[in-house]
Amino acid sequence: MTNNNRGCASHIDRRAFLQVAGASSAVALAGCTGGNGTGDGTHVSYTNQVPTKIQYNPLNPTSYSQYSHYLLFDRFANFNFAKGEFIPYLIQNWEFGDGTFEMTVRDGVTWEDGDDVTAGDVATQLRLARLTGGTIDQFTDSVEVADDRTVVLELAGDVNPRIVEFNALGQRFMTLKESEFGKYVEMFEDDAEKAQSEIQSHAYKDVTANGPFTVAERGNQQILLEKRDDHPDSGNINFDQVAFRYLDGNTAVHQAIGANELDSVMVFAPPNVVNNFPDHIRMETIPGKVGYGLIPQHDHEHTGDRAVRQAIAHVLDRETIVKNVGETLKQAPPLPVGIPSDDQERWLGDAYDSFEDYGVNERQTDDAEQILLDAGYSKDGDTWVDGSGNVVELPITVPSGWTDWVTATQTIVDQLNDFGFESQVDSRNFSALNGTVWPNGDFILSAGGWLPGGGRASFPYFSLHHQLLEHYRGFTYNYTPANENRGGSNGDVTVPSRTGSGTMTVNPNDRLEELSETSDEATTREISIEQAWVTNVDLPVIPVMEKQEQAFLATDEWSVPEQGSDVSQVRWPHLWLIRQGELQYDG
Amino acid sequence: MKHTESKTESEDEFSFGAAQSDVEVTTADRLRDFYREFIYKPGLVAWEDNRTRIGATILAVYVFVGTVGTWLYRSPSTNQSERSLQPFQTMEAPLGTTSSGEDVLAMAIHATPEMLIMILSGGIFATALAVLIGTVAGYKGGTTDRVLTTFSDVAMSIPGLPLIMVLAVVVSPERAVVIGILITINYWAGLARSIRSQVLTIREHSYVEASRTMGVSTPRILLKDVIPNIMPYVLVNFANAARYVVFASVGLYYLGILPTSVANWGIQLDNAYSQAGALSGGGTMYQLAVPMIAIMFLALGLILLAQGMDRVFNPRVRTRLAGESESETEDDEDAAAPTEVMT
Repeated sequence: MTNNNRGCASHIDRRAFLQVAGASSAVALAGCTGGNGTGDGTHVSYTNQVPTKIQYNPLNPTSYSQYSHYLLFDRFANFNFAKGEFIPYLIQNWEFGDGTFEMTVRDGVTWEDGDDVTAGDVATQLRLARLTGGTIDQFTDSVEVADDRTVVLELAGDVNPRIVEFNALGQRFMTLKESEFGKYVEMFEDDAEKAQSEIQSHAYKDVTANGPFTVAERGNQQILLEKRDDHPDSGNINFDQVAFRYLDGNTAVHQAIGANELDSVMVFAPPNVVNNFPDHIRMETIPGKVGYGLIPQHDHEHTGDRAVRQAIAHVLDRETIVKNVGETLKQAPPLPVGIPSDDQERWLGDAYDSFEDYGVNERQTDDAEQILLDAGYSKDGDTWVDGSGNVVELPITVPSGWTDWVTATQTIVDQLNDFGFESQVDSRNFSALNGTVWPNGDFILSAGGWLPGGGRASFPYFSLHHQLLEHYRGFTYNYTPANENRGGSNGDVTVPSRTGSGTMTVNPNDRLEELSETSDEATTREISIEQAWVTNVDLPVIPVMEKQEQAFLATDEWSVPEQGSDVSQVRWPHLWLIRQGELQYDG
Repeated sequence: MKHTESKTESEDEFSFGAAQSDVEVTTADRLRDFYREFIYKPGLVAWEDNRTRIGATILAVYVFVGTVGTWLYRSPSTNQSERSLQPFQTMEAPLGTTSSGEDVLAMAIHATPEMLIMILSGGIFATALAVLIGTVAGYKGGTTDRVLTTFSDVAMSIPGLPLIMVLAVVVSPERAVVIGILITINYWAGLARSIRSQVLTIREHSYVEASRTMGVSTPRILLKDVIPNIMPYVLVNFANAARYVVFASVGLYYLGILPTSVANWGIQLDNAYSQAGALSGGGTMYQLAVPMIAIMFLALGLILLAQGMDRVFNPRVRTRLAGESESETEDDEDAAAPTEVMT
């Protein structure tokens, strides 16, 4: 529904609304007394950031925009989770040459002050990312402007094209206009430290937009965007305004959806809440590429033993854990492996069937028992003990404020106890865990992410690197192949061979480095499968569930694509659909 | 401090008195007297009051549930029943289940013992410390009083909740006893101050004066003459401290500050709100209601008990019920004690 006829008086505090949005909202509110039906309604979405504080400098993490920048600025390219590849956008074309990565800027994209978006702007964005320590710096020697629409990255040595794509194009918006931010690039040449602190503390609020919308008003209650007619995709959009209302907390958002106050929103909602939403609200999910796993302490006498880790994986019924937390929020990975759920078949291909699933929706206690018995463990009454008679104790640390994780942990603890391990929930304050417990390796099992998150997690290099070498949180898990800062020594690992008998000894660090440098698709796949096999057998991290991002779209006055359409599989669906003309006003 | 005793007298008196009482009063007699005077009579008076009766009954029910009930009723665990069962659908889980299939009633019952331990430890810690500091400060006066009063003033001026939050994060207490003490870490201060002013009046009573004159030691005077007289007041405040522990612990659990390893109604509330969407129209209000009712009734029981105990203060009621006269009938009610100690 738009503001035009949603019984505004009952749902929107008119005074607050008017204070915030001034004349433009008066137009919108005027619609309350009867829809104008001309298709110039206001699309109402939400943000949980105070609108007056939102800023748009991506190099400054403080109050960086959550949603509105998706409409204000053009993204280099958009990763489609269904296709597993980038859809060109501001960068219309990219090519790998001999040690180069050439990007072509889309024609006809302009800043709201009338200037064209040029290769110089793109280069500024990339240069500042490099200078402030972005990952792109690791494989780039320099960023060159070939002509008005061509930018060239001079690559440093061999680098896997996908790694370049994910780091150069992924999650990158054209925000930093050269005429405004070029000075910082120069400043880096004179005084890098000063430049770094200045750019990273600069709150970019009075923006010059280049997307299909620009900021019209912002107040305490909402930020209102107005359509720009001179964007190449403006023709796809048949309404004039998008409002991001400020709501604090998921419950407030759930209530606003229930009261018909929002047209599109990204929010977590458990199944019973979703069932209670009005009929015209449609849920779309996209994979979060992050999720709850168990991080074992590898230098512990029990969790350091592969047999125990495998037994744990067999004992857990992932499907039950997911259902307990909420099916709408999570999914169970088909294989516990260092590749996200939706990408496993794509990457493992024919090898998929040779991988162990450890029981997605069942508790394989017999398998677990056999593994433990073979490894010298035995049962003392109902409890598992090791060869020395020590009880296998598996307390699980978890941040106490993360209720979905705590719920999952409780289920896991019950499943482990039922099998004969001794486990309990050890919940602590997140900052205590993150600050001391995890870095000190002061845990036996801990709840932790098994994926690095974001579109790039779809490429196995990143997800395998995350599990085998360097978890993005500071877990000192002392896994031998891991990097030194995670308690490892980049050592070899020996696992049963995937095909046939015998064992294979590999060095994950060397192999992933090889993967990061190869341009050969076959080699990329081969190493990905090999290292995924290591994660599947050795379980450096035990995957349990993967997060689903939920989008809710109102369909009463808006036409949206069929549920599950490929086009919706881009972050964030509601905002991408607006640009694509797939979310239109038809009230 | 005011000293009126003569040394020679006091030494003689003391040994003389002791010799007399050895023969006549056995320990059992003393205990019996103590029981009659300080437990039976106040109890009788208190029990006359309906509020006390109801309050005590409610608390008895909680104690029963927290002790026997946990033996009789199964422990909560995930997937013990069907998920998200509404209440009154099945005898297996009479008050319904959570979205992870945990029996809501089992969760409420099995949170009770920890809660009672927390209440006891917090209440005892706060009142014991307050009594100790309040009586010593009020009775001794002088520098001791000034030091102790300053100490409790400082404790009082520290904002309680932030202090508890910081300590909870640092200590991460998992034992109910520790949590109880942590919550009342500065609750005792106000109570200590009011006890001090009570003691300031009591110390001027003739029998206290007599004990002092006889050279009875300070701890003995405090234990035998002073504390028994403020006992009802202390009990009332114990009930109040207990109520504070209930609310504060539930609040801290709800905020996710205390570790969830200990079962608690606050965790239930938090889960109902954030996991089950009880306030988003998810039809899971019952998950919020059960722990809320448990909290409300416990608080109600404690309030009623505290109010009922107030009557024990009234000497006339006590005298009438106990059928004998009090030794302190003509005492002035106006106990506005001077805050500065006399010299």
